[in-house]
Amino acid sequence: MSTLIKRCAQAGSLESGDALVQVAPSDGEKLALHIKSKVGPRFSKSMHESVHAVAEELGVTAAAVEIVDRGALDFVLRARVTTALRRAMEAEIHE
Amino acid sequence: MMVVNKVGRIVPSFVENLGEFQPYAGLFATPPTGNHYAPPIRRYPGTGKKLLASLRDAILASGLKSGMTISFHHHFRNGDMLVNMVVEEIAALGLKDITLAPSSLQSIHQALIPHIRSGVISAITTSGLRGELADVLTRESLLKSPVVIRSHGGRARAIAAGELKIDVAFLGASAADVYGNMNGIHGPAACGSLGYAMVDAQYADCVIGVTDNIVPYPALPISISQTQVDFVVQVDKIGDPKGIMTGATRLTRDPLELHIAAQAMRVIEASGYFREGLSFQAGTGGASLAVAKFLKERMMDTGIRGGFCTGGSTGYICDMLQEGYFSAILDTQCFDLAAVESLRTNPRHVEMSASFYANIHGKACTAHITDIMMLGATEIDTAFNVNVLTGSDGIMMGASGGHSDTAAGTKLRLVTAPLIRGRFPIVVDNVHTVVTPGECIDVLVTERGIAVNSTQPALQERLNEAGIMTVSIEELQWRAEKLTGKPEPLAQSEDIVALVEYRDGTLIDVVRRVL
Repeated sequence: MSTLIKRCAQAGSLESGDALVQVAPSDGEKLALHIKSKVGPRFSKSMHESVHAVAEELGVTAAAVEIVDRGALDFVLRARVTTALRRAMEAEIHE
Repeated sequence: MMVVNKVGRIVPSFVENLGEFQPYAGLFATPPTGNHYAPPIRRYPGTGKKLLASLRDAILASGLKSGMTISFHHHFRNGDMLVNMVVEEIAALGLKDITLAPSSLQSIHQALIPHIRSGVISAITTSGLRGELADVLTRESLLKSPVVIRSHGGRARAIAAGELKIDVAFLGASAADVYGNMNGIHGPAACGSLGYAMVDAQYADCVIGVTDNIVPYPALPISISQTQVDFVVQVDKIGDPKGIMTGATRLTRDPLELHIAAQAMRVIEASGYFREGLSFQAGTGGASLAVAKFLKERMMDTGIRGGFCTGGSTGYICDMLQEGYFSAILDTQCFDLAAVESLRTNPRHVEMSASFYANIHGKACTAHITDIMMLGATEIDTAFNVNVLTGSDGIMMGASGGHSDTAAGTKLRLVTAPLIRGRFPIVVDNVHTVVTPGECIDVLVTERGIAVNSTQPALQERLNEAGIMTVSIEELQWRAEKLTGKPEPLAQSEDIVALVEYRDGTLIDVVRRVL
């Protein structure tokens, strides 16, 4: 089990043009990624690639990532995933 | 057999149950043939008694049989109760294989899905489809022939030409008398102009007027006349006012749409068509409607006054008529109650039929004599072809409407659209469905730039002289895709679920079943 992801965390919103990213520790060895999106049929590949790329940059190899996308542009999605993963990697919540 | 048409789309030349089709060959390239259709002469009782007790009695009296075609208008929009009510009754009578030919369909008509699955309705022709019904008809091949999509003018033409033969027209009216004079401006279900219904009233073999508001004879004003109506039926409720229209369409406050509208007004002013007596058709979308606001401001500043407004009407345009900015409104469709009120009270605001509005083979339609037309687009490609029918998922979600009709004949054809909508670039290599050919689109105005069609060098020149920055449409596409990325191709089957007729009856495109 990955030690990087220490807790559940989320980032983003369900506003149009944004995405809500929820991260949880995972028992598996991989990134368990699930994306729900209206634009899925036309952007699924790009969205999966971006999430994996962000996870790789942060050194995360195992996590459960749930995304509800509302048509976020790629840089928005990457920013939300980065923040959600970083929050999940922190031991405690810093207010 | 499949053939390639002038916009490069592969379309069938023959369709089972529908017959032969010609491919789209250019705006006015395909000449008309034949005669106008005329309904049969019937005998009427001397008393002229037309009021029947129920819809069922009217259906029986009309002689409707399995395999026939019924029609409706869509002036009640999403508040319409008549289509569902009539089809329910037809199903209860055990009729099958009916062709449904309304001027358009809304999401409320998802109640038809079970009757499509059971074979009561086996063919559909309409201007548009929305919601669950559109979804089902794009994902499954449920009908015996593809849905035929027609523009408002195209439908009027097809009916007049007898290509779309209507056996029984069920025409809802918010006020009617027992002899069949009807209008849409009085009564609880007021919807305004009955422009689309006028064509059905003229050419259908049997016309049934349906109302929830019988008024003393004569029902004035007379939008549809007793000379065209066979039977009258009173029902409890014909439409839900909440779904028919809002009180007054509010102008958008979205800064992006206002910015696009302001840019569009700059283009109008530079084009040379902002001049005394200008005629104008406002769109209904956010940005295109907002252009009216900027137009009014510039009219106020310059003292220029317009001639007629055409197409549909909103309270905003009616106020401009009242205040003297325009001299008349020719109206096929009221979009809000303020417009209905104007139609009721202002003698310079008059109804016109869909044929008067947009029939290519009519003897003069307003779509051919208007100066400035504001158009929308769900997608536009680098050849300026416009899609207003299918969404980014390939599912039908809109309507052909008067888009291709007005684009063909208006002097300045201006498309306004946000460059990006819900992660999708609006400018694409090839639109999913061509509704309006690019050869009749002059200019695209977005929040990130203006592009003039290269076929319009004179307009380009005028914008240059006015100091309006323009870019190529390819540049707009690049600007959009830089932010959105390029969408992956859609997964679709070879099966054709809809035929898109151009306004002259030729095929401009098809919609394929989405997987």
